[in-house]
Amino acid sequence: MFLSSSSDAINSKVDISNAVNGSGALSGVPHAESLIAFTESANRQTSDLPEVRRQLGKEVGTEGMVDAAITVSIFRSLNIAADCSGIRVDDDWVTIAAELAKLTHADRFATAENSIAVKDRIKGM
Amino acid sequence: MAPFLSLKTIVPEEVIQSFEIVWQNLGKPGAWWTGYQRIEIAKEVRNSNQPALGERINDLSQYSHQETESLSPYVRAVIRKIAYESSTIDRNVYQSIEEVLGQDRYAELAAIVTQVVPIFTLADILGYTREKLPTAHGGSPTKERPEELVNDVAFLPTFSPKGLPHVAVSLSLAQADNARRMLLVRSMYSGTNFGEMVWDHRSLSRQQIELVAARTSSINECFY
Repeated sequence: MFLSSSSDAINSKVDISNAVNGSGALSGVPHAESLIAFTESANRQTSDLPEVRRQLGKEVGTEGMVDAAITVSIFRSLNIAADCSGIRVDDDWVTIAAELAKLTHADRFATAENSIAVKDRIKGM
Repeated sequence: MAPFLSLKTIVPEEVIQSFEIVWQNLGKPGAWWTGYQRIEIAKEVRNSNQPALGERINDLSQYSHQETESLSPYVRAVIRKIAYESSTIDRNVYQSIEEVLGQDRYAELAAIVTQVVPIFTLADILGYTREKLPTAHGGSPTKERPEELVNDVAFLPTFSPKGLPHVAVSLSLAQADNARRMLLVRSMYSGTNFGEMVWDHRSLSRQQIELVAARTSSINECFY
């Protein structure tokens, strides 16, 4: 949701589907491909992480790479907090969540079951 | 020796300070787990990694409840399931865990996991060794449970969100640990400018940070 909002704020057209599920090349976000390669490698702890990290550092600088690493780390924690507690999507976000879920196929995640209002909205779309 | 010396060379000071607060409190008795148990919970995360497909925890009932070094194999399996397979915890799985641990112990255990995961994950990504755990303190759990909880936000009772995102109150049943978790969130993500869609206090733009965040959540199959 905030990828859309932050892109709108700078008049940047973002391809959400490419950003979330693709290589990022078509997403419209600067350095998206390297950021996504890094995010994938960092989450999955692939063997090429050192090289992917170096590549990202070359493109966005060391501080930018560390920023990305910090973001992956805290979002792993946020994902855990959300899923293990079973929270539902906030009421104010139900409509946008349904739209984004359809776009990104996130409605296939088992954790979608925790947000009945969003699932019902998707069914009605 | 002070913790996080290696990370201090590269990670912003505010983030390190939030790590230090977690470390200062990790080994103290919580509301429902002793200091020793809390360190064992953190150690289970520190000493484990993402399991291979064939090693995933599909059936918690197969794990023994016999305690070894303060925690049973069952509790250790719950810790690992939360840390690495949280997207597989549906209401049925949660209820089966609640029947054994109870809401309060589950919430505090999960809140400990959510505090140490980002600290260890950051070290892993940057190629540093995971930090040694602090010493456990003696003393008894406080057995304090927050009041004025609601039941319509999550599987667990939580504080009423009152304008906060649900994820902020998700583990508020473990009030103190949830507060320290949110310190990490503030230093590592939301800062003081969360409502602003353009950030200039980070090296990456907000758009880039949200790209990384969205992709991470997709990889972890977190619908929220």
